[in-house]
Amino acid sequence: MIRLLVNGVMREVPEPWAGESLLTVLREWLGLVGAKEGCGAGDCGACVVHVAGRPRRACLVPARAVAGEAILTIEGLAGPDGALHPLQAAWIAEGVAQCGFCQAGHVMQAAALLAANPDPDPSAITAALGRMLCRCGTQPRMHRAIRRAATALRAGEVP
Amino acid sequence: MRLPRRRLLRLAGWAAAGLTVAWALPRPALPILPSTAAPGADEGVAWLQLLPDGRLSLMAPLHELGQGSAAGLAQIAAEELNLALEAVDLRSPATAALPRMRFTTGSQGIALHAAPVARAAAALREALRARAAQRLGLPEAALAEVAGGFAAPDGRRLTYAALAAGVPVLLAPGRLAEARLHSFDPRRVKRQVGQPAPLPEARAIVTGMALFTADLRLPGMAYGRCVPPPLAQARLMAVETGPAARLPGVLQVVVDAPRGLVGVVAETPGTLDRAMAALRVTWDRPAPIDAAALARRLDVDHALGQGRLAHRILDEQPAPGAWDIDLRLDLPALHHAAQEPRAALARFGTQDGAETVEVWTGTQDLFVNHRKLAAELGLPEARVMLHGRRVGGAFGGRAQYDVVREAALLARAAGRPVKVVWSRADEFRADRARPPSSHRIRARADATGRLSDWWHAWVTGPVLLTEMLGPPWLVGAARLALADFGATRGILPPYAAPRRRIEMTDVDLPVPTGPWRGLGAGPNTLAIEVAMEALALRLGRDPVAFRLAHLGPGAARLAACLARARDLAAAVTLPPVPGFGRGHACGTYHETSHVACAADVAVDPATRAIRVLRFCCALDIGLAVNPDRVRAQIEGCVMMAIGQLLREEARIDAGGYAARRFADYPMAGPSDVPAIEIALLGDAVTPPAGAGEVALIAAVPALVNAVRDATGHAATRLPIRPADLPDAIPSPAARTP
Ligand code: FES
Ligand code: FES
Repeated sequence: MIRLLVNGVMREVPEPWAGESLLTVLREWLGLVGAKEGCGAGDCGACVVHVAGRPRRACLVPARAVAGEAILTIEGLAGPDGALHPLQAAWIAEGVAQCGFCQAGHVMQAAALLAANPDPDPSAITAALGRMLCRCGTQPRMHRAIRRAATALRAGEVP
Repeated sequence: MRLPRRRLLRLAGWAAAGLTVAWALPRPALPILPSTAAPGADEGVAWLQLLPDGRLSLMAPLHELGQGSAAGLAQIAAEELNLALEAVDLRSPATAALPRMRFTTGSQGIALHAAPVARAAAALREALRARAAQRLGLPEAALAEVAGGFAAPDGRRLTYAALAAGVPVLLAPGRLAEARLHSFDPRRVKRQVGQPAPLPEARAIVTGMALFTADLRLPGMAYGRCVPPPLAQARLMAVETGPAARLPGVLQVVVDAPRGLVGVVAETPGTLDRAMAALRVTWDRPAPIDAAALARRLDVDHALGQGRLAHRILDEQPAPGAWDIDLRLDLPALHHAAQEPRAALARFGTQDGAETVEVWTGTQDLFVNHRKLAAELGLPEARVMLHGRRVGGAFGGRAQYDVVREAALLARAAGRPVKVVWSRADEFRADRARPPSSHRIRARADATGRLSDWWHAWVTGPVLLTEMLGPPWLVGAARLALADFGATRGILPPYAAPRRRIEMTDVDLPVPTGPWRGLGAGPNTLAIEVAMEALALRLGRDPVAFRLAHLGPGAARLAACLARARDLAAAVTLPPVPGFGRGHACGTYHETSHVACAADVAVDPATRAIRVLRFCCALDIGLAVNPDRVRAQIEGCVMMAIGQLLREEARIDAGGYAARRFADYPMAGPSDVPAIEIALLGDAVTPPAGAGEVALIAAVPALVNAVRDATGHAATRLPIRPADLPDAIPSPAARTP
């Protein structure tokens, strides 16, 4: 058995689930299915969550390896009152999503970028999304949404 | 077609396989065909339901793949009923709740369903108006439509909730024909149709609440997966199950020899992966693919060298003699590479003592999979229920959904609900990819500089005449009789030319192929537009003006798109230094969707790396029900086009498709994003046409033509690699056609 600190709540994960990847535990044991499995090999980024504030590809992380660390998933990104993170609001305002499958991973990757760099220029955005995939081709709008969210954040909207 | 039974068996290959085994399977005698029937004009009544609280339930008869069509239909229903979009509950289709619906393909979601939805919703509105009139003791004409109900001249109001309470609304068939439609009324100030409404699921998607198939869980559920056969026709020879079966957490190793099915059911996904890796399966593998033989089979010049091609689609006898242009273009196979691996969740149960099965899955054709599964399981169709889920990208590759069958067979064997999610490796290996094609185009102008002769010959793998249509003998017979109608899509150029010859050969390939975004219209428009560019340059004409001069009155909407894309592009002047180029292209999809693109590229003179700077697109699909979703589709097409120009190529090695992971199949990404400008030219009265694929057909040739403008390189294949480009990038003035 291991304990995972997910979105501020300590959760118990029994065997055999404790031996699975973080992504599998989140999705299949805890029912937090926002992070998706697009490849299971670290190639697509649909599974990105934050571990100790850094974006990680949950499909490559053994759950056991992050026991006790602060894990943030897309389900925990909005405030407890349901107030959207500026990135989520920007994503809706720009109409980014098409099929939607890759989007949670992208939002989490972008959230980590904005936490580290409140005013990313296009090349910083490109670098942050560099190894992320979206087959629907929403990259043009993701760029716009990230810039919009950065502006909102600097104007004082709290994440 | 009637064949003596014995001969039929031999053709189908059953005789060799062993009759008892083959016929012991509950296979249907007739192939189960894709659900192609378009909805009837009055069919919309089956999709709508007024809820007791006055909201509308819409079970849109199409699959949501990211294109936003279901949301567009919700906008239409809301327009007719004067509802806010939030008052429409959009539900995913289910076989038990809908009459058989058409598959979601060909960008036809809005085009085919907009009118039936509007008619049904308008008829519902009028039936409610009649009821309101009766309640208020007023003539129907005295009632004004207000949000969510009706108002009398004296100010009394009746909401739909009040009108719906208790008594079902019966729609008389006559009502459907007479109801006035708001959605297509040019005089009406519309609140929904034509507005850039956000997707209803937008909030759920960014909060992790939108549920795809693999996100579902059921009590007692286990995880399963099957070993994909190396080829559809491969036979199972031997399975070594021991090491897999002995792993803790493995519930069952399923071997169903007659069906060629080998699979594992395990307690957790990780255990499943380990067990799959431990299975040893032997197939009677076909001979390794011979790359040289495959290349020859796909070589259009090799085919032409043997005489006329298999299908003459048009022959107006081009005059003999030298050609002004004579070019070759070879296009690779392309993977769909949708982000969501295919998935299905199956649960068996009983109803009145009889076996039933429910399957949740996200496909482009719920109903064909429904009927196939019923046949496979030997169950009446009424006891097989499929629930459609949101699909994580399809691009034409998700109509045949083997995963439905796999989940059901594993669940039946394991005696518990089973969720099957394909591995990424299987997604690539078993992809019914866009087939490779090889084109030869010859064209000639007369003394006045007008296109006079046109000869387009091409060889392609199958697009629609595949195992999707039935057993190999039937498909083989169909291929002899007709040209693959998926491969020929978009083959007629929009340009006037008196003497054209168009011929093709569709060849069998050792890898699976099928429909891919735009089907044949992608490769065919690319070949046409690259040839028109080459001919214009050869004649010393401006390529856009040359095209416009050949677009007759029947192509006025296309011509307007081309002129607009040119003007949008012309607002920015390219720097007069080597390496910058602009290209144009246009095309019409399904006769009703018109598009033109202009692309600006920059080629680094040192590295010869190509960068796409700017993209201008003019589109006319008539009424754009949701212009923002239409724009999103264009942007997606632009990104895919950049991938095709620079990177995408499904490599085939001795064992089939070579890619096993995304890293093996590079596509366009965030560093490739160009500036994009879009003009929607459609008016509000022309019925809406498809928007999901059309931009792609012109986007790729615009890019290829831009690279030619920048470098002088006349591409003979895609993708274009830096090494294909000339060592010295010519200066703009020195560019010679
Ligand atoms: S699922 Fe983790 S990177 Fe693709
Ligand atoms: S929205 Fe479909 S993959 Fe990104």
